[in-house]
Amino acid sequence: MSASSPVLVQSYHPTTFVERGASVPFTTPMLMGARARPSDRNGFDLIVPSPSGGKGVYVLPWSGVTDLCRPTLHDERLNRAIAALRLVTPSSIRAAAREIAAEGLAGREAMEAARANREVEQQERLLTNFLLLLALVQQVEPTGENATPPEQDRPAMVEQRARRAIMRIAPRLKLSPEEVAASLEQLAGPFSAIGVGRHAGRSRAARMIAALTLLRDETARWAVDADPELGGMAEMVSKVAALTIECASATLAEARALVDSLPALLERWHRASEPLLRLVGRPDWLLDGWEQPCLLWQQATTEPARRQALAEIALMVPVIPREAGDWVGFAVDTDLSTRFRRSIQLGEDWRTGAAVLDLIARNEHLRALAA
Amino acid sequence: MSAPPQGAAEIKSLQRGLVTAGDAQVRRVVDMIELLPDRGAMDALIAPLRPRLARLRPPRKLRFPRLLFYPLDPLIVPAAQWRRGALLLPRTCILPLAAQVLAAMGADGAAIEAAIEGHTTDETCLIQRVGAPLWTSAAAILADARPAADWTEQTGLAPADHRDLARGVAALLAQAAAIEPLAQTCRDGRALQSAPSARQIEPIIGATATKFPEALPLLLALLLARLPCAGDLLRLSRQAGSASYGQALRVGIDRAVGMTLEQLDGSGFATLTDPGADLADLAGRIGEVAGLLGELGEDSPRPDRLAKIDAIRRRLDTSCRSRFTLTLDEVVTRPLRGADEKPLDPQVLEAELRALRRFDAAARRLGGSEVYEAQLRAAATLAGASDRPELTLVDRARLVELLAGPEAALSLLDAG
Repeated sequence: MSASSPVLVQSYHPTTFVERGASVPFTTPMLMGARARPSDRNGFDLIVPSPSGGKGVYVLPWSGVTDLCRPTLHDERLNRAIAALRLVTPSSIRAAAREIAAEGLAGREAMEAARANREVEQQERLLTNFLLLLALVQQVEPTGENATPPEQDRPAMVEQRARRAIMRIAPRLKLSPEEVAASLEQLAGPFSAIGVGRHAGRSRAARMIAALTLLRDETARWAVDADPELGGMAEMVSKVAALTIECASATLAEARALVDSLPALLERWHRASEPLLRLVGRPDWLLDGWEQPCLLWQQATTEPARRQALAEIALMVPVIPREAGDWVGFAVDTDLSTRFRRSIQLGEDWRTGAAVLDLIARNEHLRALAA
Repeated sequence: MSAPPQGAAEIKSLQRGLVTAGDAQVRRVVDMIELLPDRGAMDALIAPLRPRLARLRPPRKLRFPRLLFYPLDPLIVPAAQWRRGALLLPRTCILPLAAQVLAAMGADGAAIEAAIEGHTTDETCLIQRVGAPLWTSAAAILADARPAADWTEQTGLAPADHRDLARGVAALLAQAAAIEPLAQTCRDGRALQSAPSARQIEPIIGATATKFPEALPLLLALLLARLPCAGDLLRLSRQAGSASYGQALRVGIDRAVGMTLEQLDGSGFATLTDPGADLADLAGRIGEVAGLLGELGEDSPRPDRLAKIDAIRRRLDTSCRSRFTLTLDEVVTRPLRGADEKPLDPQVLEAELRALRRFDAAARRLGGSEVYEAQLRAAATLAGASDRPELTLVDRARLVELLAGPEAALSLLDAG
């Protein structure tokens, strides 16, 4: 036991996304929906939803987690990986979690998926770099210089045209061509998550919005038919999902629009990369924490399974910080997830009883399905 | 698919095969039978499996009789097991009583049949929505119903049995719309909103005691079977001294508890120790029974009953320990020692171990915690030191985690 028992923070209204923390894909059932955020004292704090399902969260260091539950081997190792992170963001946590899963600590299925995802992300990054080069050619090449649109040209020709485009733009940016090429490579990382050009629909952000849309629509239908308690939960999930989609779509459009003027984007990148990274990372922060609920819902295919999934999802619905309103430029009802939250008491079997190993196995399966 | 079996000998032979089949095979057979437009002799084929089906609860096609009797399922037994005065319902009464209700409901009954067409017993929202008005109407119809001309021919029961059964079913159905949401809440893994749940079950008991006093023991037996409320019922019976139905309640609970224990000691015990049953499924039922025995034992004022409870608990405990030891040896110890000369699949091993752990978590509620613990520790030592080439260090650590917990697993990993 740690020196002091964890204290439930009843009123939890984070102002910023950093304060809300980044979601951590722990496999311990009690830690589902937990988030990590930087802390001056502890390196990082965990924010764990109240297991009773009511309002409030536990804010505690990792050492305090053992007062709430018995973390899995996977989570112990993931905690160490997070402690070593320089920045706590959704993407840095995802990367750390993927490396832990790739070691096999969430089982072989998750290990194979994590290794495959590592490859896919690398390919997406390369593809995004290529698409950024194509966009640069389209924007920089003088009209009439080449009859064939770059996206239809042979790869060797595209390479030549890209090199020429970089040579043309570099002096305007007061950079060497190598620096421009390197910048485009660096930008490929954050932009591959939101998607560029014709790849936009297949990006992680687009996939997440599609999954969230499905969750929004199906839970809205459920809210009509279910009993008042589950109906209330379904309504809350659907409404917060709808608001999240609206906010994420707005920030996604804003971030993708940056590619419409690559010279300006490159110029901003060199002037101050951090604000630009934060702008492009907004959709990720908004969608962060929805992957597990969406997967839980998709995996529950029968009605009894969906009833159970809904009770669990209702505990995990991310709170939307007030900062979201500043990002999207319209009024955001940030109390939605707490106002509609119903207090549910869960049976002893649910998080602490005999089924806990099955829930861990289920969570490990979710790790394998996560993008 | 080959033609369905028709002859008695053929059915008997298939029945023998099914009785020894695993749960997954049984589920597949039931799925296939459910799809047949005319089940005919196939119902006889699955008759011996009914106790297992009650445990497995595979989704079944919703039909009018099934929806009508859905809330009463735990009390339904084969006609041969039923006897007059028992707090049970013979399966043979389902179709004739359902036919009476359907005929009396006319167009409303037909509308219900249309509403459930193509749906299954998994769809609990639909069952509650369509079922609630049906159960209420059926209760009113059956309360004063007279037996149909072919009652004895259809059921093998005397005409006088009709009144008792129809009234009993009416009493239960009159409360079904109130009981079903509570049962659903428990099935979902949500606890009842007010624990103890006495506040929720007291009006159900009160209404039955007023309208169908003779059926109160039957209702209490149903509540015991459907809700984890044994302790609440016993407390209510003690506190209801001043209520008009206090004495009836005490007698009713005594009979319901007696019947429940009798069931557990008889056919229920066979189901709980079924060697063909899936270990994880069995664990759920054993957990429920252990909880029930615990509550009944805590509050029972009768020494003979306490002795009976203790005897059932000890018998079940012995059976669980033996099953655990055998399974641990079969799925963990022998494969880790390479005794089977079969390639070892870590994922299969983990899944089997998880089912075993679920089983021991439930079985410990009956006793023997230190015995399970010692065997698990020994197996963890074996797993940690295993030199099976199929297992990496991480695989071994995960096995140790399942057997002895994350702390031991972390130590192994850190040392490796």
